[in-house]
Amino acid sequence: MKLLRSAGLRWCNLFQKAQLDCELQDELMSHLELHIEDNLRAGMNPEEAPRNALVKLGGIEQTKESVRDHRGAPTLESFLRQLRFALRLLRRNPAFTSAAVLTLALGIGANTAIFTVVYAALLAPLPYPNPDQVVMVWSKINGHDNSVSPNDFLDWKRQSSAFQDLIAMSSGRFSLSSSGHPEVIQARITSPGFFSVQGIPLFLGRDFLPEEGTVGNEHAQRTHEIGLRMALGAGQRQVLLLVLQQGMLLASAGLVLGFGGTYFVGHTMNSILYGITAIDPLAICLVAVVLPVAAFLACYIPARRAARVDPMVALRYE
Amino acid sequence: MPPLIQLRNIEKSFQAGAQKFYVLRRITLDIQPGEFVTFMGPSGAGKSTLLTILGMLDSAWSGEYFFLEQPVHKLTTKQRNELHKYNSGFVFQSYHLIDDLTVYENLEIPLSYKNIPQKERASLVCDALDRFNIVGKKDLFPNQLSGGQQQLVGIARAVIQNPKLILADEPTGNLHSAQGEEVMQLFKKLNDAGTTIIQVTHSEKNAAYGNRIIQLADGWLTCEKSAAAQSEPLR
Amino acid sequence: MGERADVWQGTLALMVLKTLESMGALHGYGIARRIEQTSGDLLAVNYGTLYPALLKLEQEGYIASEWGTSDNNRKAKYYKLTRAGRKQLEEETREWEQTTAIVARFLTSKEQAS
Repeated sequence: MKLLRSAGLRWCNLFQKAQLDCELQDELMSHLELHIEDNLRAGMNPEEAPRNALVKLGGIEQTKESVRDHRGAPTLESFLRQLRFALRLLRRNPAFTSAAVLTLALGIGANTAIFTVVYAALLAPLPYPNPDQVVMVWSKINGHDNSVSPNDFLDWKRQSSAFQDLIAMSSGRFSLSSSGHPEVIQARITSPGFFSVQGIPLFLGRDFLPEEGTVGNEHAQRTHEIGLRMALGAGQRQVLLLVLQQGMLLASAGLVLGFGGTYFVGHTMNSILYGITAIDPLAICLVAVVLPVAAFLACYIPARRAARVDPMVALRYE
Repeated sequence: MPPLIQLRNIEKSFQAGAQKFYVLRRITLDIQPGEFVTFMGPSGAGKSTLLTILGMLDSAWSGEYFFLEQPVHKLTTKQRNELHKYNSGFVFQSYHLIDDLTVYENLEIPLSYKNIPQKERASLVCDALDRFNIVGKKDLFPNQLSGGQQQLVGIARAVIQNPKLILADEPTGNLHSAQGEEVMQLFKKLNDAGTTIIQVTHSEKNAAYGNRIIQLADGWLTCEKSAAAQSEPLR
Repeated sequence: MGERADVWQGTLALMVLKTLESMGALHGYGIARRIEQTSGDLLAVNYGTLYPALLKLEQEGYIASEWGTSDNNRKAKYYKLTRAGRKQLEEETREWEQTTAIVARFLTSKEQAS
């Protein structure tokens, strides 16, 4: 505490130098006057008195110097003095100075730049929560890391319990044409949930919906349209019907073509082989029943999912 | 006469990590039937969000919203759909036409969801095509139309059944000034006939067609101006 | 005999504090004079060395300074003892007495031993 206080006062004194110098001068002057008076009273003659007082004091400048030394932070003052001297020396040797400064600048600059890159690329933590829990999963071929086949990915996603979630990623170049000139961009193709798995919040827009990541589900691409229809007044029932209709239409078309083909092949077979009828009623009936049912079921589930789309999610805009 | 719309402390926010971002904050206002209101303010102020909430297209908000004295905040999705289907028309900023349908079919869609018989639908659609001078385009697909034409179809779709309330998000954004004026004149005519109109726009000219301007900034209602251009700061 | 020895720096502070305690507030010249007198003129005080010591004591908070007028109407800077200074004086006096007691015992025992 004592040290701190005196250190603090020293620092303050550094800045009040001029004022304190004045005061010290006054004090020493008054000291000398008092001493001279005493001397005179003691009987010294007027020339002897001041000289004696000065000698006893030990010299005004020396006293001032020793007080000043004690007053300021002596280390700092001498440091500043030496700094000024050093600068003067450097200015006298411009060639050496500039060479040294440039070398240092280059060295420091290069180091800073390298460290910045290294830090950003290797050392800085990733800008999302729990980065140490994010891992890349590769498949192995002949002992080397390799990319994963889509079906393997789907199997692992379904069966694995070691991971919270698995996201498939790929990349490619695309041409982006908005109003104006098209440009080539690098893009990343991901399965749905890329952002939510990493805990990255989306301020605008949306992540891919789970149905958009399902293989062969074209109804997912109609999410925008379905959302729009719902915004225009379609109820869930109407959306369901819409999707079913479209699905069943495709199934029916397939059925008709299939039957046509069966008949044709059967007829051809009939003429070539013995004992095979062109049209087997049982087979046809069976197909005519089973296929539409299968088609219906295949359409119904995505239809239900479609009907649950939130219009605002599907239509997300600013 | 009771207000058409009553909002009490409507708030919308979303959580991003540990932080909560507010899109709308404590919005409280009344809109009387027959008013022509304009929401104005800088980008990101929440005007479009407020409009979608009013149009019952967004259900992620808190607070109280009374539409025709019905408490929307307490209704089920189905009930909300019915309410906005029969009473309001929405003009989207990015038109949102269905690409696989022709202009005629696009105009017919909202009618088909309201159980209107075929013949009546046909006459309403033809009427709209006429009104907007797009009869010649009725069999074209949206991707064959210019931005401005698509916008006209979007507007036609919203007004086709003369709803009680029209909500328009930047309705003249892609139209050239003559077309824009025509659209605003149409809105004015509808408003004179009793339709309540709420629009979001950046254009002072468009705002002048209305009789009430409400400013939003950072999700707050900041001030209101009546047609007499007297500014009364809120809060 | 009768030679004035130089005053140790450290003990100077102690003497200043003691002087202020017995004399009350005093200016720099007065303190120097008093120390000289009390030591029986055996110690020479280079008056100049007093001022850094006064400054140090003031920085440490043991004395406080104030400008005033002397008896013959001269402006002078007066120093007085603070409460902390009083405590420090007591402590240092005790320490000094302890030190001298130990040394004295040491010397007498040495005499006895030899």
